[in-house]
Amino acid sequence: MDRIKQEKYDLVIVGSGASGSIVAAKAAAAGKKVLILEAGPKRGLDDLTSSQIWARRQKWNGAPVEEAGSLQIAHAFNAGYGTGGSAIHHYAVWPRLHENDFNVKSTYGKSLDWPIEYKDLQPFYDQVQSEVGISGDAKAEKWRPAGADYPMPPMPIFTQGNIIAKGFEKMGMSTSPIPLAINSQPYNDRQSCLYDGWCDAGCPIGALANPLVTYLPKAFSDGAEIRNHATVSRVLEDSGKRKVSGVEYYDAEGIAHTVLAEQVVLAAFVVQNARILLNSISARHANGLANNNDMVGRYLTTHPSNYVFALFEEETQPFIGATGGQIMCQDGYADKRAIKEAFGSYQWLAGLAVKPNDLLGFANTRPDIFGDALAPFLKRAAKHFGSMVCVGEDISDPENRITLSDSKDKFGVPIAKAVHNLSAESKAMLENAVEEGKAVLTAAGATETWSAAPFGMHHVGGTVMGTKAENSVTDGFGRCHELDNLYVVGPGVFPTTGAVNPTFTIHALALRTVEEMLKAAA
Amino acid sequence: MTKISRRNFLQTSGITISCLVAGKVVALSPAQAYARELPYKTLNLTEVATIEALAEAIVPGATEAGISHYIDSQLSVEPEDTLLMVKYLVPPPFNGFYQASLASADSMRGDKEWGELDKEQMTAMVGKIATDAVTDWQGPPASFFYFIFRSDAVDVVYGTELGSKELGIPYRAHIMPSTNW
Repeated sequence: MDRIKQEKYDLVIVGSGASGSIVAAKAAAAGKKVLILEAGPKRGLDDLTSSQIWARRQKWNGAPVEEAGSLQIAHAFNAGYGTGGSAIHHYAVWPRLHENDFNVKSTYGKSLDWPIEYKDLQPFYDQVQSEVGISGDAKAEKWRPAGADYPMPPMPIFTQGNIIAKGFEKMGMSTSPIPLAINSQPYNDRQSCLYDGWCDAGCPIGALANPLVTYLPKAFSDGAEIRNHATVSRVLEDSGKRKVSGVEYYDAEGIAHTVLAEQVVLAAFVVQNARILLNSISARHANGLANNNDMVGRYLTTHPSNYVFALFEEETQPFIGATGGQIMCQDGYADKRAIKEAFGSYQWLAGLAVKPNDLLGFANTRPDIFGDALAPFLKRAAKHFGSMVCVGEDISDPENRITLSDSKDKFGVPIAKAVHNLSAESKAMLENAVEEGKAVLTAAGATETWSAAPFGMHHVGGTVMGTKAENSVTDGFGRCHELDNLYVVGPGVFPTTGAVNPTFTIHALALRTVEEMLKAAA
Repeated sequence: MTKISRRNFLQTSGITISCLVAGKVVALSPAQAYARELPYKTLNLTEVATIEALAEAIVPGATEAGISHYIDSQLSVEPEDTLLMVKYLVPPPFNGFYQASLASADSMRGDKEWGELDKEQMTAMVGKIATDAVTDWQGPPASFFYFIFRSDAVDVVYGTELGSKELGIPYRAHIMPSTNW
């Protein structure tokens, strides 16, 4: 491959998703010359077609990831591709981590501790919440850690949510509206939701907080540039110093480019961040950058999750609402050891808007039904379906990890291999939750209930933050222990998963990182 | 409930594929491509016959909805451009996944043509594939192929605005699928 001109920026950000976009916006607003390198194509709101078939374009289309283990992370389904990254198809479920998620190792003797506490992150949660907008009912969330009230009232609870809420109530459990980064009313020049359930396909009306309507427009208006089809292969060490000098990337024609920068931020999601670091080999970093202690790639985690489904006599209108659901229950959060021989917090998200097709469509909840029995099932499910998903906490295990494969991508760069196994304690947590979920749905009046196989929801870890290079890749600000101007943002720096959806925390942590970066640069 | 006529289907199906018709590339729905008996780009006729026989047994209506042209068109593009659900679950390229599975399924019919098998025989055959009860199955696990293939058939029959109408629920698109892809 030919190598062409070198360029120089204050800041190069690898990835344009949730974390990269907020870093870009804040740095550009501070006057920095910012370049975002995005592996996928350019996307705008007009590309977010209302179709579960077309929506597959927004999922990962870059170099394949080899997967192994008993609970694989489903990389191609969870990861995004193109401007806005995975946040384009995220469901905007934005609860906060709880205080007890930050000291799991100290409290329970397993998993990891964070180098920061909830109170360190709270002001950043509050700031992001104000800037982006969240619809919710803070008082109804009796489990919620301290924080400012939501700026918008909660999204409406429709028929499915109301029916299932009664089941929780009969079981003596609590529910609240899900805090959603979706406008229940116009907010910050963005219109309110139409409740059509196309969140997974991408929200083209701007009601759902994806980077195309939140931080990327701010970044671009302040001069940040983005380059699509720019696949970063490695970060370049500034030889002889504890610094990096820039990155190397390949364009769509396979031509290698070098971009120099004062600071580099990896915001390419969990697997690709680790892959880039592992491929960034130099004389002083024979195992890859920031990896002198063999920590890059370790502690790969996901949210061990499971769906429970039901059919009801009454019509539930399961096509209305948000894909992420309507009501939430975190009664299973506070005590991570509440269940014998199990470990981990969990939450329920219930009343999910569903479509007939695609991996999470209601047709695929009963793959055993085919032939003449299929249409009657689908017609009944289309109007009488109910669903809940348990989002569980993973146990951070160094043997669950991202490494490099012997196979290479089209640019000749080794691809990633991701191994993730489910622990016996996490499995027990999920099994208990499934039985609880079926009981809730039965109490709600379901005529039949069933569940799916456990699956991995979200990607976390692989470049975890910690107190020192011997136990982590970055410090509490996402700065690599071994390199003063190389930062990692996104869920890869989470030492533990908690049991809540990660995108709100991704934003809050990235905001904290960029404020520190700007101080360091000054 | 709205009864969907063939004419309505041809007018409103949301999935389209690019086809060469009279020397020009035009966008057609899989159903239109099927109705015009347009040639296939990747699949051979044995594979097409297997797809249509199996799909019809799994999701009635899939053949007329154009399942064979849908799969053929999506296997003919670069893997990163394909819209098949298999991309979530299997590393590219995807042709081998389908071809190996279809060959195994085709071998199940023995000396009979697909059209000679009655509904009961087809149901039994699908049941074996769905439960990994096929001896000498080559390629990806039979039940895994069944899951993916069933999803493809659900896509073309129920994954469109017309499919929602068939189920009696509103499609409520913000942006309707384009015909130019």
